[in-house]
Amino acid sequence: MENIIECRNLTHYYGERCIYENLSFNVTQGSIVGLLGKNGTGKTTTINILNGFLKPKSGSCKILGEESNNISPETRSKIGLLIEGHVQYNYMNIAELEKFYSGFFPKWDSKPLHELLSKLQVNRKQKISTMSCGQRSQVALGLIMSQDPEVLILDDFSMGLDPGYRRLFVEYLKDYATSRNKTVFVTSHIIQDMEKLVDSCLIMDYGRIITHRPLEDFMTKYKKHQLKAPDNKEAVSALKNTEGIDHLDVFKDKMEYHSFLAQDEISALYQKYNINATDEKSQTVSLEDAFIGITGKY
Amino acid sequence: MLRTILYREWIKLRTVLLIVLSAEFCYAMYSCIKLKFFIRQITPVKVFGVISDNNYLFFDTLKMHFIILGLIVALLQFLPEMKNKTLKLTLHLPYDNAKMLFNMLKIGMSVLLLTSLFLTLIFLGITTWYYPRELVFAYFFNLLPWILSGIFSYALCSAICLEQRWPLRFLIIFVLYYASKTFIMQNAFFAYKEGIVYFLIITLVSLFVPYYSLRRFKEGK
Repeated sequence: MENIIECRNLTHYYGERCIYENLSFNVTQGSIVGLLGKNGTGKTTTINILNGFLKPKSGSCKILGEESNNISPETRSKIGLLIEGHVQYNYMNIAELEKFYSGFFPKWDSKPLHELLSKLQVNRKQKISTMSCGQRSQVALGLIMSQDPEVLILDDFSMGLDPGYRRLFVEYLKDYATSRNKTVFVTSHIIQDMEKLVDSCLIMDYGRIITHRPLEDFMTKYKKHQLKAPDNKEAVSALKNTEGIDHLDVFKDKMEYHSFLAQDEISALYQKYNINATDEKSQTVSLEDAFIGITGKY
Repeated sequence: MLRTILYREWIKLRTVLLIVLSAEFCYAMYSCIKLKFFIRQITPVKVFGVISDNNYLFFDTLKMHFIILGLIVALLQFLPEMKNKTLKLTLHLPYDNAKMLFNMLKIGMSVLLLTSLFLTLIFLGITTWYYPRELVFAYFFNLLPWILSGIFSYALCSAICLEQRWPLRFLIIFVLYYASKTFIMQNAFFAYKEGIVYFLIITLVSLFVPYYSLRRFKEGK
């Protein structure tokens, strides 16, 4: 499948501080990819590089086949961008915004904007600056959808939204993207929203991407394992340092960890390290728990 | 596209344009009355001698007007772009970034020139009524560097808004403060006869400073 976004060996520093090194990932056509990471791991930095607002120290980033630091106006017309905080021209009202944007986008279609507006208690003559965060988010989303872009890049869309607006945003976006085969690249702090939206997740930690997998893997293969903590401390330590075992913790007499490994692989590890798995329980987790399991609590 | 950009800039500037034009009209009327009183106080035969010997500019309080107007127009146009980094939305529009900026600057300058032309025409009307042609021309010539100072302050203030780094902002503020003072330093008739070309060049060069700041913004510097 064609890559709409292609980042290769991206490295970026703010002064002396390394944000990430050799970051590589692809986003294929028609997919909805969520970029998850703790605060300060470089999600917005990645969005800025993707849109040409930041020059990476090294590496390349292509969007719709063009280098992101030199995107042509024609290609920009195919990219819908939602800036963190649903930023829009605050001094304009909805009617003015519609008139303004429609002059730039050749495929402008007001239908999605009007549909979203019909769900809100807003007047078309109301200025953006007088709207609530939720209303502003829907207007911003409607404006992006009306541009009829091929790819939508949404930075922290859930910021400041109450559950109702978040649900409206997610449902409307999901329906729009799947029905029109749009590519979506999205970041958010509210991970349970991602569960209802994305096809695959990219999880970032400080300086790197930990994993990029389909959502189904997180929901069905990633499991939380709990068992009675073995007395053999060395075995616990060896298991903790095994690749595929995430954030193993021992609390009182219980041991807990997360893993993508299948049960037979886990059993093989217990056997290898001479661990007697007593009271073992393994269960699938929500995406949020999977995120915590992979990145750790702190 | 220019029409669309003009539409947005008009939304930003329409209120101030109306206020400025009204204020300029009031100021022109005030200056007219002031000039009338001045002429009445002096023996008619000595009027032009006093004016030319003392370099009497009945609109000298207007000196700062163009600079302040340049600053206001720049702030009104570019501060909203910097609030919450709205400039990213502008730069993401399917239009060449440099053309976008220069079109915005063109619109801002047009507002400045329009208000300057309005004021100049009123003053020329007043002076033509009272003064001989030579003196009218002298007054007009004295207005030119002031008008340029407005464009100069507009360009540099736009750059200050677009610039991301405070040390560079302070540098531009420093240049803006001292350089714009030179535009309005002299009151004497034809004092800037030799210098007007240099002022014109400096003003034209200053229009590229916002572009430099925009490039730096794009690179995340």
